[in-house]
Amino acid sequence: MKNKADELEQDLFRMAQREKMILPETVYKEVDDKLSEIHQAKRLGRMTWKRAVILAAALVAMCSLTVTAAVGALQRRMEAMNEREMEDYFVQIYTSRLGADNYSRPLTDAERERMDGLRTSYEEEAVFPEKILTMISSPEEYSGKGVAFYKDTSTFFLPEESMSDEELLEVIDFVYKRDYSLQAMNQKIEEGEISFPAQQIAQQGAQQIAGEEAAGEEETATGKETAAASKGTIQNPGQELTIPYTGDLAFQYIASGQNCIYLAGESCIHRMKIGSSDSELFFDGFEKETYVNAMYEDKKGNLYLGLNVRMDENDDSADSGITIGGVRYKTWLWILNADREVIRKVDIASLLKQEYGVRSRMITRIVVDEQGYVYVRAAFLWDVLLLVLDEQGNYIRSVTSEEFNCHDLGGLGIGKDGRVYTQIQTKNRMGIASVDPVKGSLDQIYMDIVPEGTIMLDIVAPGSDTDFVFWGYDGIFTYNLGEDKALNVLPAYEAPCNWEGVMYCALPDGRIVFADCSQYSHEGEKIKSVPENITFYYKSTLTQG
Amino acid sequence: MKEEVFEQRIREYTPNMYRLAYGILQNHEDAQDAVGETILRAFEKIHTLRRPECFRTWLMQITANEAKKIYAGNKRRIPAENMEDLMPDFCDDYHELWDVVMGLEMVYREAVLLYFYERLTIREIAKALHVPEGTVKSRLSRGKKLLREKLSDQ
Repeated sequence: MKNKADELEQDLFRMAQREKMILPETVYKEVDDKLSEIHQAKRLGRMTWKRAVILAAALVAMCSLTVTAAVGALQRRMEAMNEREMEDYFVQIYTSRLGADNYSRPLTDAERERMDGLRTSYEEEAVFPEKILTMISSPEEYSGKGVAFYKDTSTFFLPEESMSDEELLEVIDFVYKRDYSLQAMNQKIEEGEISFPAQQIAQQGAQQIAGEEAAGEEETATGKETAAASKGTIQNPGQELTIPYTGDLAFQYIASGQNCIYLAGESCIHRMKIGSSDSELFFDGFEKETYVNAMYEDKKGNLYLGLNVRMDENDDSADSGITIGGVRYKTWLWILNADREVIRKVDIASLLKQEYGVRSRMITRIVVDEQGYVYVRAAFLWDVLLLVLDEQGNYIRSVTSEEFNCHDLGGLGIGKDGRVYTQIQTKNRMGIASVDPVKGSLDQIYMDIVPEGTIMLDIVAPGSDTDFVFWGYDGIFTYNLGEDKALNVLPAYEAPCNWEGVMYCALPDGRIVFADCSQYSHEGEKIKSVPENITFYYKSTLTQG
Repeated sequence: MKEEVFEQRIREYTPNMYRLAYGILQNHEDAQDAVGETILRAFEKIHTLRRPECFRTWLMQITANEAKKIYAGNKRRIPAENMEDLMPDFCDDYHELWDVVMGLEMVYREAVLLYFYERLTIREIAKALHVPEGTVKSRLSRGKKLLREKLSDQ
């Protein structure tokens, strides 16, 4: 028998379904206007190829209908492109690894406004650039001056200073020519005038792959991975990139180093340059099956690893391990030096047993301050916010609070003031606090800084133009100490990728990097990311345009 | 998703977008703005939609967000006593539930609109409103209790 609550719910559904609202005509006009606006591609900002196709159609329509001298000049400019030139644009579109344009930094509001004006001048007054856009064959080639385009990732590299009219016109001109070529080539292919340039596309694609492999071999040959890690890196807090992963590691966790990103797979750690598409093996000296759950690189280049190492079946030690997928694992903290040598193995499992009488746990967060204190967060360790160890890995004390606890995956990091900050929470409140490692307590507390209902905050790291950047359920936040509220600079629904399940870290320049995998493989109980389906998204967290 | 399909589906769901936006914002001008912004935002983000069958849910989530953005900075908020004059038109006199829903506080109203009118699941509503599923459940539970009370008063 249905209960009264069910009946009420069904009644409400029926009532809602029966009600038919009449929309004012102005709503339909608004929809028409907005769809028309899309077709005219007024918002150049982040143009997708799909949008480019639409814009191309509009351009051709304009060219075929207009009679003014200026438009005639634009038409002549487009028609002046020879077939080879148009084919180059066409092939470029098909061989780009990304379906959308990217910019090395966001356009400022002033630049966007000027670009809109210049686009009108370009279309209606035949105001053209003196030069054409510079093409570069790798991001490292960009000198930092002028505007350049890197076709492999469809990225416009823009100067740090405000762009000149000439530079803006070069971008506009490039986009118009590319759109025109796309449309004209498609039309000719459709009409059978020319065939689809499959061979050129295959050749170009092969050249790109060869170029990437050659670059990889060159770096391996030097044997100077640390230097290579920062070589060619464009440290620009405003630079936004979308980069498909071309490496081969099925990784489950990422962490930011000082000049690189670490990727952790099963019993293996890779390192990749910031902005690179590929990764290289960094460490695989684990003797048994090992899961890397936390990583932190200190200022000296030492890498701290929170590990769960598979236990032997006949291991009957006092610590019976944590069971994951039917297998027992023991918790360790390993420290690697910059030369990738294991300099310390800290038996966290025994420490937990001795100090708290509990079995192995999972280290979820690690951070090391300038005094050499090592702060470790262990999951399911109720009432203990953090363990504090010395440089040798010896246990000193725990950090506790009578009022606050923390999420097992709550953020932990070092602020611009050099102090360690941790996420803290109560049942209904959320915030961060600085940690006093000597007293083993929280120091300065900043509560209620994110919206009510926020489940937890992760990534507590310095922002570029703010004290902190956080990952939260609602999106990416920036925060300045002492302010009432954090600012949601990237709402979750505006993220370039999935929000749930995505891997993320904060770079030293304040950017957030998402590593999103769109496909996983299943091997028994193990779920592995499929490397070729992983994409890296670099998002700026600048609050000033 | 092809552009023509996008356009077709936007037109198909325009009534849903407007109804949800109106329900949150409670005035025509803002609701219309929210619909317009939703269309632009959806087009910009269409490449992130991996499952076309989820288009309607995804669109409703964007609509809720755009409406809430306008709500947060709203300068046109309507005093409660004038609301009756600004009610939308319906095909017939049957809009008893709508009238009652419009009297709910925002947190209950948005959850009720998404659940009963737009038929989103608890999980989908949680994602749309950026709150935990438990929060959605409690808001819906409270919202239903209020609806029952108000409907029985009529």
